[in-house]
Amino acid sequence: MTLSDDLFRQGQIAFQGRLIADATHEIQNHFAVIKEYSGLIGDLLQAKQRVISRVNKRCAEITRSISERADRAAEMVDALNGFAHRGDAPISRFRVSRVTGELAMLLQRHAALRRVSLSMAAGDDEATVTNDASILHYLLFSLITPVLDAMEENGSVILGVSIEKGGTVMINIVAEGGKSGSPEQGLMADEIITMCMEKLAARISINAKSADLVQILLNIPSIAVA
Amino acid sequence: MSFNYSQSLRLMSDERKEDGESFFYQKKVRMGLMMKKKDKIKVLLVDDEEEFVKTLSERLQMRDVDSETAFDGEQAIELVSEKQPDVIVLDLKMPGLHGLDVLRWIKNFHPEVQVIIMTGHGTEHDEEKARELGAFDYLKKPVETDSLVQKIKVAYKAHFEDAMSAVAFAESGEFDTAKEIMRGEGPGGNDSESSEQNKDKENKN
Repeated sequence: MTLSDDLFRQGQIAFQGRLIADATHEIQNHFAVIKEYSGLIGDLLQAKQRVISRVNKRCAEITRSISERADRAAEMVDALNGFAHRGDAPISRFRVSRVTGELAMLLQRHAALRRVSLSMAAGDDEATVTNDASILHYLLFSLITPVLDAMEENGSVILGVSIEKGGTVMINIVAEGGKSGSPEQGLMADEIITMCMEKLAARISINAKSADLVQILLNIPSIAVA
Repeated sequence: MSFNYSQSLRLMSDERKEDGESFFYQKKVRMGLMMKKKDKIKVLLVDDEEEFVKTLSERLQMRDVDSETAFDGEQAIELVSEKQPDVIVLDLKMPGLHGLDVLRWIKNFHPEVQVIIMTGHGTEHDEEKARELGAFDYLKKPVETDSLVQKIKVAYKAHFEDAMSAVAFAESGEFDTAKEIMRGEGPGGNDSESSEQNKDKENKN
């Protein structure tokens, strides 16, 4: 191990800042849309005397969109809240799908800027472990962002959580549509990833199934509370 | 589009220094003549948040502003040449080309167009850079639509006055090129030719 704890911590704070900046931007976008829709309702109502049926139809569409946007903003805020609380205790019992889902939600902006889809697959929602959720976020961020950066436009990254035989909890990352020279070698050599793995006592395997399909399997164990 | 974006995004070469001023002057005169005839400000809204930009466009149209939308920088560049807007409202952080690169391109190839940056994620450095590149104003979301319309009108006024001073100069008839433009005979004597000539220039770069 060559990376000092101080450098590891600095990197962790920087990753949290980046995620929060991206997520707040996305939340601002939702609110900007909500605000415009609300303003448009006002504009339409002012003009209602002239075009009443068109106004009714448009208002119905707008209120539906406002509701959808508010839901998405609330989901984003919920993920951000969960993310902020993961550092409350160094070791805690948590649902792996919930922690993975939080990160997937907060990375939506990063993925969208690269025109890549990032989603969660249905899996074992009840899979829980006792470990450091904040470090797991950091590990997932360190693994997923270089994968997203190495994707072609319209590629997809799907995250899944499952319980294997013997109760082992696995996180499965499948990236389809990567550029040539995909990032698996870089990931294995990344000191942040290595240090996160050590702190979580996790194991990783990265398989390039074909030129543009990479699968990353993470085994997240429970660790003893000191 | 046929030209290479990274090439065209470079600052214009010596060619602009040699014949660029007269090229842009001619363009400004033609633009001024067009502006005299039309009654609505033409705005291009550029933002990757499609619902936001479509809704804003609808609201601008209700305020008698003629608006078009683009959802990324590449599309914006195509529409600037095609639609020749008076004012562009441009986001910074978008997939593909960054807003600052789009601004640089616009100011190189269509310097007469006023650009208002409107972003939800801008840093002080971004603002400084945008103003340095020639942005007319820098706004942070959310912006009240009526305030945005006011900003657009102020930007348009600057654009209009600039074009009118070129027209007045051309009307004085001091130079042959200006006389030709006023008669509709000069290089790019009509709007479509003007657009074609500009495209040729973009292709060269």
